[in-house]
Amino acid sequence: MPIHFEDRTARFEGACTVEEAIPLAEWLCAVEDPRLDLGGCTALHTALLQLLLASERPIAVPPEDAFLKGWVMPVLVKR
Amino acid sequence: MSALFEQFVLESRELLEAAGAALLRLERDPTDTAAVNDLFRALHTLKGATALFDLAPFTRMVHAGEDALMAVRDGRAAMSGDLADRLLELLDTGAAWVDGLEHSQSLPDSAGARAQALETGLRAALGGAAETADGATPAGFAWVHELPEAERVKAAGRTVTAIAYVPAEDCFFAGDDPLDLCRRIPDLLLLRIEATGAWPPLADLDPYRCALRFRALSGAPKDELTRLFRGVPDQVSLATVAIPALAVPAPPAVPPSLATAMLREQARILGLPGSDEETAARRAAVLRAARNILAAEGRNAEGAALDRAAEGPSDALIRCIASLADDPAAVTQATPVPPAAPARRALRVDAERMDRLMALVGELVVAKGGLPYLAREAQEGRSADALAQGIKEAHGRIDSIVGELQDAVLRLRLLPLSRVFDPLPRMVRDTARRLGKSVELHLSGGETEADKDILDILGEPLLHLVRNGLDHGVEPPERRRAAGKPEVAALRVQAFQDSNGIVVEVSDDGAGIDAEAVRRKAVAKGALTVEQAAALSDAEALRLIFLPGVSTSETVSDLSGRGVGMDAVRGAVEQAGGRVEVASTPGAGTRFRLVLPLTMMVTRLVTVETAGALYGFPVTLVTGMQRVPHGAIRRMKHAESVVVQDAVVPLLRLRRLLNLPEDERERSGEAVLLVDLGGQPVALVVDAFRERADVVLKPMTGLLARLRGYAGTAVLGDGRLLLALNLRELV
Repeated sequence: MPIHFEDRTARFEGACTVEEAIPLAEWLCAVEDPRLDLGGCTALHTALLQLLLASERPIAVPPEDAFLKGWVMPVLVKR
Repeated sequence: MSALFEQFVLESRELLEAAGAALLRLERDPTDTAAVNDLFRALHTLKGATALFDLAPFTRMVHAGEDALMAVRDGRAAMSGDLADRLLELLDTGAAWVDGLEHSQSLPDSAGARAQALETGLRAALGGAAETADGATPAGFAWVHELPEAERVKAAGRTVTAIAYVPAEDCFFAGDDPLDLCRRIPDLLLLRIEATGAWPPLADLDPYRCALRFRALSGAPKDELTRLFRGVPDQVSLATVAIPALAVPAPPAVPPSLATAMLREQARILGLPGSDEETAARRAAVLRAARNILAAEGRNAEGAALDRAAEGPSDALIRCIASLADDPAAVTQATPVPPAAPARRALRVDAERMDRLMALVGELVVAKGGLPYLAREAQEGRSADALAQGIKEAHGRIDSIVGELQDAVLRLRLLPLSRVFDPLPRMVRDTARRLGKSVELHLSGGETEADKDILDILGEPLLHLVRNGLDHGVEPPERRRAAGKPEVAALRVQAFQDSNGIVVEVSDDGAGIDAEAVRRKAVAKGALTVEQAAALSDAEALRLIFLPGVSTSETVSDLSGRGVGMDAVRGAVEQAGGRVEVASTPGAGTRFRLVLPLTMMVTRLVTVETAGALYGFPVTLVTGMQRVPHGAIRRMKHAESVVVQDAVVPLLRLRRLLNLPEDERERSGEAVLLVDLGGQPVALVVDAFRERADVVLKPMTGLLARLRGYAGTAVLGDGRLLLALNLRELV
């Protein structure tokens, strides 16, 4: 599973695909104060990105991936 | 210039010409798909070639043209006159740039701005019918210019492709991942990810419905991005846009360069007081130093400014050097552009003709081989008769080969008239559009061949006659309608060869020339008296338009009608040994006919003898020869005249024109040569007629070149010298 849901941390690993969208949506709704760890994320599906944007939760660990760091993180931070 | 670049210059010219021709075809018949394809192919190849040499503005401009054509081809835009204008302008700019590239191997500094202007113009001409994808900043791309500086910093000053990507809501089901697509955008300069609307509470959000849109800038060309987004063409729009450079904070104060410091020092030295001798010596040293500094800086062009100033007083020179030191750019701009080098003279020759020449040279070598044999026979004491026979045979062989050789060489220089016809369609189109007339140009006989020099001379007069026909000959559409003529005027240019040489006719079906008006005009200009004018037949009166200052029209337009043109036409044609004729029927049209010799190298002359010397006149000017009895010559004071074919023709005597002694011989009549002096028939008394001769005229050179009245000299077969006369200058 590219996204590891642990307690209150979701750890994104490798290429995270559209299949993760429902689990992520459910997890985001269920967890009180979710912690998002994108450190190991190398690709983020649009569906996941919009969930993160809509959830308005802070990103605890920003992604290392250059594209995500350069172009996607600023959007996630700006909310 | 590298061979490759040279090839590029040649090829670009051909491509531009091909594109121009195709464009005119397309404008005439907007449904001509072959023309669209030809045009498209030419532009596409040109684009590829310019990209090879990293000529970004050129590539960009051609690309814009290509885009416009694509819109036409796909039926998104109609081929309009306006669009054709823009495209022609684009081709013209391209041609000018290619010329510039040939000389300086670089595009003008303004090329970028020019390309952009053309691009904008094309877009405007395409109008709203064009899809946004073809515009630079069409609706939907305004955001590009509203970007905060921080975001467009990477793209500033570049021409980039703007991408507006609004994924379909259900795109995830199609397997699309818009963000991943954006990740693959090459040379990504900016990516903005925006929500299409306000976010609903997380619980209500449908994770499988795409609610994001993307805007991006990329340094990659549009084609490449079109390929990238080929799966979602309906969701993306692309546009090539120029991102203005950021408002540059005042350029960092460049520390004055060494050259600047040195130049300032030179200016200071010049200003130092001292004796005249010292100043002069200093001045020379300073000039030398300043030139060296400029040369080292690669600013040789500015040396001219320096040289000019050096001729003036000292303070002017000081000012010049100081300005060179402070502001190189200002001085550079003040220096005149070096005059364009004359176009290279290149001649394309059929391999077949070259082969024939080779074969003839081979034959000549063989014929030459017979001469030593004859020499040996002479040494061995063969009879004079036998020798003479042998020499005659050898001469006959060589003579026929030389004759063919001469013909072959002349043929090398023959080129089809289409070379001078080629610019006509474009000119007719532009001129007709400007005048608001509709004209169909009919060209025929473009395959007729003429000597290269003749073609060079023919070009200008032909353009002028065509322009004149458009301007004065063809009436405005409403007058044509009123006269019951078809609204589209016909302008015919046809060429053919006849026994005298090349004939080019320019005819229109316009209003014709009013002989009466020409008479009035000529009288008003003082070219002749009222009586003289009245005595002229209409055909003769028409010829008056070839006189300086007499025009075919009452109105002077920016095109023609100043009355200088027709005179120039006649001058150019006669200089080439030809003549001009005009015929006009009021209401039905006008026809100009240029008769030119086939070649200028061999001129056919009528030779005459006068006071023991031989003189020649171009056959094209001679209209007749006759013996006139003394009684038929009328005399009024010093002016003599003779009646020829029911017309009174002024009679001149060649001896008097050349300041030779009068002919004292006893004779019953005079040998009279009838010559056409540009519409003015003249009878010329000579001592005797001689045979016609084909000669190679050599122009007068050196001191003799200043002698007026002589067209050149030629050596006749028997070794005698012949002077070819230019009667116009003698009379």
